Amino acid sequence: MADKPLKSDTILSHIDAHNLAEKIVEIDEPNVSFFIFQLGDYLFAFGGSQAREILPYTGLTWIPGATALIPGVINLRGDVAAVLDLKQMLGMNEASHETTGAFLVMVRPGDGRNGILVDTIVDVVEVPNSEIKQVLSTLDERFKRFASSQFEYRRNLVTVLDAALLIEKAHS
Amino acid sequence: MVMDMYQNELQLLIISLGDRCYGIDIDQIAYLTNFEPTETAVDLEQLLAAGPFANCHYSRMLLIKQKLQTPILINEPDEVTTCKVGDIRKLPDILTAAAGNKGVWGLLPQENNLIILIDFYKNHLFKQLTRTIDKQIYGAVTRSEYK
Repeated sequence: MADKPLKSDTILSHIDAHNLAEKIVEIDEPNVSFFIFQLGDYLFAFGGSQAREILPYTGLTWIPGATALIPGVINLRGDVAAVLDLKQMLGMNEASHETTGAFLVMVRPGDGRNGILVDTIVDVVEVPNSEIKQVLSTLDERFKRFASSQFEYRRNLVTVLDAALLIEKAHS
Repeated sequence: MVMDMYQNELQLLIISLGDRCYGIDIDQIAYLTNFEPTETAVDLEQLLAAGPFANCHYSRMLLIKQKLQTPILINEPDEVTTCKVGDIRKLPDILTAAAGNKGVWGLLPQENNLIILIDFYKNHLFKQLTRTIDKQIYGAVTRSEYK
C-alpha cells in the first residue's frame, strides 16, 4: 500500500506531463507577427512582413487625377510616397470624403512607396500559427475582399488585411 | 551618360493654385503674356481638374510651344527656379496612370512641400482641345487651298 502511488498523485503527474507536452508544442510552434491598428470601431492588422514603418500623419499634397482612395502624397525624407485612405477603401467613410487619420503605416507591397492611413496604433504581437483562423463567413463584405485571416486579441477579433490587395484596388 | 543627365538642370516656372505649387519646364513655354479674353483659352484649374479655388485671379496667359492657339490662363507666377534633374522624384506607381493623364510627370520635394511637375503635352484635356483646334485650322487651310 505504501509503495503504490496514490491515484490522485498519478492523475496529477499525468496532468503535469500533459501540460508540459502542450507547452513544448507551443514553444515549437512558429509564430507570426502582426501589427494591430484601429480604424473607426474596428481592429485590423497587417502581417509584420508587410508593414515597414509607422509615421505620424502630416499634411498631404493632393495630386491632379488621383481618386478619393489616394488623397495625396507625402514628402518622405526626400522621396515621395502615396497615401491610401483605408476608410474610403473599406467603405467606412461613405458619408464624408474628408480624410482622417493619425498615423501612416508604410507598407512593402507594390513599389514600396505607399502609406496607409490609420486612426490608432494598437500593438505589435506574435501570434502562434494555430491561433490564426480563416476569415469568418459572416465578416462584413466590405472587409472580406481584403481580409486574409483573423485572430483574437484581448477578446476582440482582429481582421488581417492584405496590403497587396489594397494597393491592387487603388491601382484599378 | 546617366550621371550626366542627373547633373543636368531644369528651369521651372512655378505657379500656385490653392495651396499647391506646380512647376512647368521653361523649355515648353513659348510666351507668358498678360490676360486677354479669348474663346480658345483654357484655365489651369480646368486642365488639372483642381479646385475650385477662391484665390484664382487669372492675370496671365501661358502659350505652349506648338500649341499657341490654346492659351492657358494662370495666376501671376511665383518665380522661376532651377532644379537638378537628380532631385526630381517619379510618381509612386499607384498614381502614375491617373495623374499621368493630367500631365503630372514627377514631383520635386522641397523642405516643407512638394512641387508638382506638369507636362502640358501629356495632359489629355489639353491634347484634346488643341487637337480640335488643330483640326479646325487644318480644315480651314485645306478648304481655302481647295478654293
